Amino acid sequence: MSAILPLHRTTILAASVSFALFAGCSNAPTKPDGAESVRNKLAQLQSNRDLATRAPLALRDAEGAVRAAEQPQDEIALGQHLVFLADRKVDKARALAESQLAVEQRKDLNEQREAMRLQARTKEADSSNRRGVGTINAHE
Amino acid sequence: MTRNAFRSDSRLWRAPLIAGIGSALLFAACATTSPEPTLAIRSAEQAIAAADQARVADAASPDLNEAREKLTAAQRAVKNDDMVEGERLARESRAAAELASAKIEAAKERAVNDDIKRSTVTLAQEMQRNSTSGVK
Repeated sequence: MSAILPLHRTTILAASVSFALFAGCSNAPTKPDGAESVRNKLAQLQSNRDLATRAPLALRDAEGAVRAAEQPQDEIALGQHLVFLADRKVDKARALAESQLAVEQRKDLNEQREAMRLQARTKEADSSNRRGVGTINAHE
Repeated sequence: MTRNAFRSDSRLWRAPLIAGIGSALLFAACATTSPEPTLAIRSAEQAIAAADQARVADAASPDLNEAREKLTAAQRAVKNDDMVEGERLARESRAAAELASAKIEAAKERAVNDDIKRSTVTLAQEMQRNSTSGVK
């Protein structure tokens, strides 16, 4: 019986140490929830040929915010706060890039409309010329 | 001998005492409330005002609504002396308001392009109509 007691004590001690270690590991700061999804959103924007280069400052700001959001935090609320900021900054960068793209596309759209106007005027002029020639011929 | 023992004793308890006072001071410094996030709240208010001005009347902006809600929550947190939460909420409010502005701007730019596209299509349709209705 007295031989069993030290064994028990050792087992209990080992179990306690393991539990303490496990508890320590489980409380270790982890990457905040949502950080990965924001990183994916940013990666999508960065790989979009139409948008990736159109809002460089906002994109750099978003990249910094995503990096900050990916840092493991002891405090869950802080992690969530940083993920929120990063998410909105990525969306903002996308919106600004879309704005810039629309502005750049406008030149082509205006040219297309002007070409169409010119075509319409030319057709109208041609038809009135033809009408004029027809009237002269009728008089002769 | 007794005197020496007392001296070494006093040295023994002096170190923990100093450490204790140091810890207390550090704790007191940490426990001090953070300053009021006046700047963060003002920035959020300005960002909301800018988004509100850019907004087309009657057009809904969920991001702008979120910014307003966050700002109200930030002001409430400050009133409750929770300065850290107040600052975080104010920053979130600003981020949401700036996103709202960016989306509003993008929508406006797209709308201008859509107008141009529509008028080009109308011109093309008129030309088509004129050429088929015998205007030669």
